[in-house]
Amino acid sequence: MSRFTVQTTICLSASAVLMVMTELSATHTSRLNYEIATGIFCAVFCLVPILLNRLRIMTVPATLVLISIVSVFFHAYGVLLMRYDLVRTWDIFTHTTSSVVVSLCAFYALLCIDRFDKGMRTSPLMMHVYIILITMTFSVVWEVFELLADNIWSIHMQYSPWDTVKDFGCDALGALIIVAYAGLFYRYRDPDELIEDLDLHPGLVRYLEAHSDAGQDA
Amino acid sequence: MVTCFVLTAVCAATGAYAGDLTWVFSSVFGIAVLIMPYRLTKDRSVGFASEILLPLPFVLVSFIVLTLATGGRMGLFEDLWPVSIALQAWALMIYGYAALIVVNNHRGSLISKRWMLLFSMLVANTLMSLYVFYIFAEMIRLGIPVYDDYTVVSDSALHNWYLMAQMTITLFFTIAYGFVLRRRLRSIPKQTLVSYHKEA
Repeated sequence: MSRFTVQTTICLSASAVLMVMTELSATHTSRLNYEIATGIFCAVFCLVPILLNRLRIMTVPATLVLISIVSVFFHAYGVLLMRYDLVRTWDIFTHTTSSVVVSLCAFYALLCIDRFDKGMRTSPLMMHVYIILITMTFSVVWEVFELLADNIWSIHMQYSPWDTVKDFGCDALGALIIVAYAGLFYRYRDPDELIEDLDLHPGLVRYLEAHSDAGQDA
Repeated sequence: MVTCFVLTAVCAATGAYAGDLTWVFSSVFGIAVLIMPYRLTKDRSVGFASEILLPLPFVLVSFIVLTLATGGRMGLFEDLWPVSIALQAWALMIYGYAALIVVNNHRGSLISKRWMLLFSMLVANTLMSLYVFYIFAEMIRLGIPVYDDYTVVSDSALHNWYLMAQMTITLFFTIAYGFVLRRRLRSIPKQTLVSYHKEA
């Protein structure tokens, strides 16, 4: 089985299971629209890596596919089967895995920028710093979004301050996990090899190269 | 540079007076960044480009004057606290930009102007997000309800605001400052910005 077929199998399987769970929730329980919509959205989201490959935008690495599918699947599972209410640490687990996904995306994006943007050259140490900066800022953006959503639409996305602090702790942990991963990556893998495996769309590469600030460095 | 250094130290003291230790943390970061050119070049007469540090004295003096004039109303959870946050976000962006200049000059990295601007915004937001743990501890110390069991739904919005104010205001103000800074620095070559300048 080729590498991509394994990724496709993971994505399709996760999506299928979530669609079945959503259908069962809709027909056998009194689930609200939010839960059903979450199940459908997450099931569709599982297909994104396949879509990116089909459109030849990029080939999502197996690591990222696996972690993002785990994150999305367990979030939907938690919503549809009320695991968020029944299991105390469910929220911590899903929040941390989401943060790992964000950090990993940031890491891969920075590797691409480092490769194609001639105005950038990133040392491994600064790569670790950038991962933390991006992940924690993304965390800020998300929490601010929750606060504004609560105030504008009178919903209850944010619970207590303790819940928010827990979320930040999970996000920081996720960032640190990928910082450790990046350290191992630099030791055992060649970044150029990963860039080749990503198989980026030529238009994307041209965009990164065209927006380089290299001309202003002189 | 010396002016900025002194004002940063005074801000730390002023923040402590107002009961807002986040200013102390930010000032420590600021001082560490400001002395980097001295430490790394062993030349006491060099400093960051004036184009970078120009707004900093204004920001720091504003905080000091407003805090002393309002008798501590700029402190944590007080009514003028949002003004303090906005000023601190601006200062952190400037310190962040200066830190990235140091990284560009000495740490084996190369950072383009656009990424320096973006990362300086990220530095400000990241530091403010880390302060959430300190603010949470202060809320507990002051007896403000922070847990699900003790939070009345109608009050939870206010308590969440106490925790989220710093990050929310910083996020929007760093975006605004980013636009202003980008416009101001657009015509200045990167080499001018990253070079250390000799002080008179």
